[in-house]
Amino acid sequence: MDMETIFPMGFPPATAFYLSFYALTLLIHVVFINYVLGGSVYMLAAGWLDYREGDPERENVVASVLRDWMPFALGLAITAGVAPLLFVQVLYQIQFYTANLLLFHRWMAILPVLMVAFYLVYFSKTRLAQRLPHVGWVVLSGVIFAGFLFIAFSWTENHVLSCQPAGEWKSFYVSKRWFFQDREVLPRVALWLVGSVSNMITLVSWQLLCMQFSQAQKTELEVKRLSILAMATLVLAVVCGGIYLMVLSPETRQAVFGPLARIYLLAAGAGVVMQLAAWASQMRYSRFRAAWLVLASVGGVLMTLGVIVAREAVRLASFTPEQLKALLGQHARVETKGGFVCFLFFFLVNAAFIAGAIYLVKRNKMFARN
Amino acid sequence: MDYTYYPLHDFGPMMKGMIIGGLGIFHVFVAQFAIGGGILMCYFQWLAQTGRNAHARRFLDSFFQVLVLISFVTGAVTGVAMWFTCIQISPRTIGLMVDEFHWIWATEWTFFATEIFTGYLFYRYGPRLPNQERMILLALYAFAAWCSLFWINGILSWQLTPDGWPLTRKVWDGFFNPSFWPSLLFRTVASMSIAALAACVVINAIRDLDQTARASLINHASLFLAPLILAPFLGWWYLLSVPGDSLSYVLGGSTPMTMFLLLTAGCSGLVGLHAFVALLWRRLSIDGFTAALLCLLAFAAAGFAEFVREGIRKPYSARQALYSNSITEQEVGMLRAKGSVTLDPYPLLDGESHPNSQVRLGAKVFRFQCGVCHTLKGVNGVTHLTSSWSTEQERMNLAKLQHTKPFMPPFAGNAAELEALVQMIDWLNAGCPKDWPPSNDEAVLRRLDRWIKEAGTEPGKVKDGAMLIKKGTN
Repeated sequence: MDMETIFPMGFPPATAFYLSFYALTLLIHVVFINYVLGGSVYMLAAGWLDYREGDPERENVVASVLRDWMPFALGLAITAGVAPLLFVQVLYQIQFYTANLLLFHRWMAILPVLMVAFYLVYFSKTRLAQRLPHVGWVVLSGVIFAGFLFIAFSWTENHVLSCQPAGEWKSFYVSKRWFFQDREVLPRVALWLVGSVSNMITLVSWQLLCMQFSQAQKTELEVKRLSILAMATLVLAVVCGGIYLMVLSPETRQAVFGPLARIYLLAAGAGVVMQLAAWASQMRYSRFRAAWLVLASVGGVLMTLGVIVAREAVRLASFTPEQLKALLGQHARVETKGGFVCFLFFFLVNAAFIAGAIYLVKRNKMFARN
Repeated sequence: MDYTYYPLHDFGPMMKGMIIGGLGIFHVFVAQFAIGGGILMCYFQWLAQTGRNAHARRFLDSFFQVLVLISFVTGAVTGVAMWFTCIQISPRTIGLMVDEFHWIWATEWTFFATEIFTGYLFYRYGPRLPNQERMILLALYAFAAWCSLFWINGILSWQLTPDGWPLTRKVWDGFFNPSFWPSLLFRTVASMSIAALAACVVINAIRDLDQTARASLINHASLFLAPLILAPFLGWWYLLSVPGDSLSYVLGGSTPMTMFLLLTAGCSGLVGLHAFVALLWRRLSIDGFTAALLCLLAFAAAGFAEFVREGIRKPYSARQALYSNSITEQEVGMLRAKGSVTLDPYPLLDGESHPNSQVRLGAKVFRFQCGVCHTLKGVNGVTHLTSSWSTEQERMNLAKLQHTKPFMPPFAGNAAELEALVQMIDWLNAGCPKDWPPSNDEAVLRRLDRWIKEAGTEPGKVKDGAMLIKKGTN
């Protein structure tokens, strides 16, 4: 094993194999999570601004698209989250379980909070919710956002706690504290939160692009607004990333900037630049352009993947050589268990099922339009 | 050989098994509703598109909304909750399952993704799609949901009947185990029944249907209760597939298990009786209240059945692999030599409330070895279970724990730890006095050491003569 080779090549095959699966499935999960988390930020902000401007007639197209699609996105986010949740248990079982146990009731609280937020997202689609006064709408959006923020905070806290040395685990257990306070937690939450907005904007822009064609929806105002917002949040995400890197210990920072993750960090940087370029170009037009959205999407994927790998570099750097050796041994043992071919086969089968189902619906929508 | 210690918590008077059991039952019921619901919706779509029932489509769209709101939200979140709760209750058990079956779980995930995806597509576009496309989406949804059950069922049934797996450690030897098929078929029948009863509730809740329309829809939905006739046979097949000691618990060896089995049979029987006499034979309709009541009975039946499944696995959480207190048979010997909590880095959270270091040690041993199934003074409380025992009786019963009760794992500590546990229990039974002199009789420790060695590290055996149906215990 070596931390001086590009992720995940320097690790033994079993570890590299699981790390790759983890990173890729986490990427899919993060895309949907970004839609939900970034969407809840937007809904709250839009609700608040509309409330202040007090114009009940003005329709916020982006907010209505988000309202319409967030339940679906949340369902997919939870579904997509199962796979990285599985692989994190294969990769870092002791660390993940220990952090879960240490946070105890506080950690488990994410489940009822998630359920309430999920139902409120559905509720926001109902006619009853549409009839809410502005202040009611702000409160509803605020509660949904607070729920998702709590979950994001708890996941980050859990993750940071799982990367602590055993001595820290013991003192946290003895302290009976409910919250794990560490200088890493807040910058990390801020980075994910702000970063989610730009990815959400890319996804919503694709939806608005489709609406331009299918419903001749006018999107001039949205193009400008979303482009500016995307650029602003990207700059803010870079600032949050910088602050986060500053709070890391020099050794950990070295792991992030070292050969293990350097190229991914560069990819993330390139992704940010690509997105900034895409949005700067897009805002000059009155309609969404597929070419710029493709560029923004590729940039978004690069940025997210880069952050995910940097996140793993931070985690891997937190292990002592003995811990790392034990983990690698465990991965090698687990890899001998069968079932991978079966998974691969059914992965392809189900991917075909899903693609077929989407084609079926899309074909009928097109017929219906014609 | 190293043992991994986790920071364990006390749930107060609540037995940990009740927490996982309660959540598990709820999740299983909701998941089975989604599985049976998929098959039922395909049937109603067929009725609609072949013109056999004019109201089938109206019902279908209402039913699907309920399914999405209950199953897709609560079902999905409680599924994740199951994982997190398992970690809280027994991290080593869920860890072993993940290690052995992660690709099976990943396979199940691919079907779950199809289920959710096609379900949402139907929810969003179904009302505007032509019949054939609706049927394809529903069939995909139903197939994926049932396959999800197929894969999970293999992992769950492995916990009780691993068959050849302990020797080969091969995934498929564990997956296609003796209780796989009866369990799968039983759960499929249960899923169809739950969906049928839920459908009756929904049909009654649709406002703009007249009595005749309701009756015709209910008659169709109640056909899904017909497979219930197979339930007793499948149940019996399942029981025959489980090891002899587990079977002996439900056939009188353990009063709670026998009672839970009878309650499962009773609740299912009542649902079945109503289904066959009122709905299928007399073709009567059913009002919303009765349908809801039958749903509750089905929920109770599912709950009791899950308790039986969990209970008869004792003394294991994964048979022949992990005792219920997360210790393997091989580790018992190692922990006896080193001391089971000697290397446990996590101190007691209420250590200062104990009168001396021996009682503190006993409390730590209790947390590590007993806390997963027992509380101190609450449900299945160790004080209640031992309050009539003399100290000497306690020593012998705990030293030879698996022979005292075959559903208990062997004591996995040394003589000093056992005496500490005995002193801790006696101190609790005495009302937690401030002063409690430590016991340091060498003769007692020697006696305990001998008893522990005599007990061995293997599980206790239920002798053939004690079984109503003679079967081996492995």
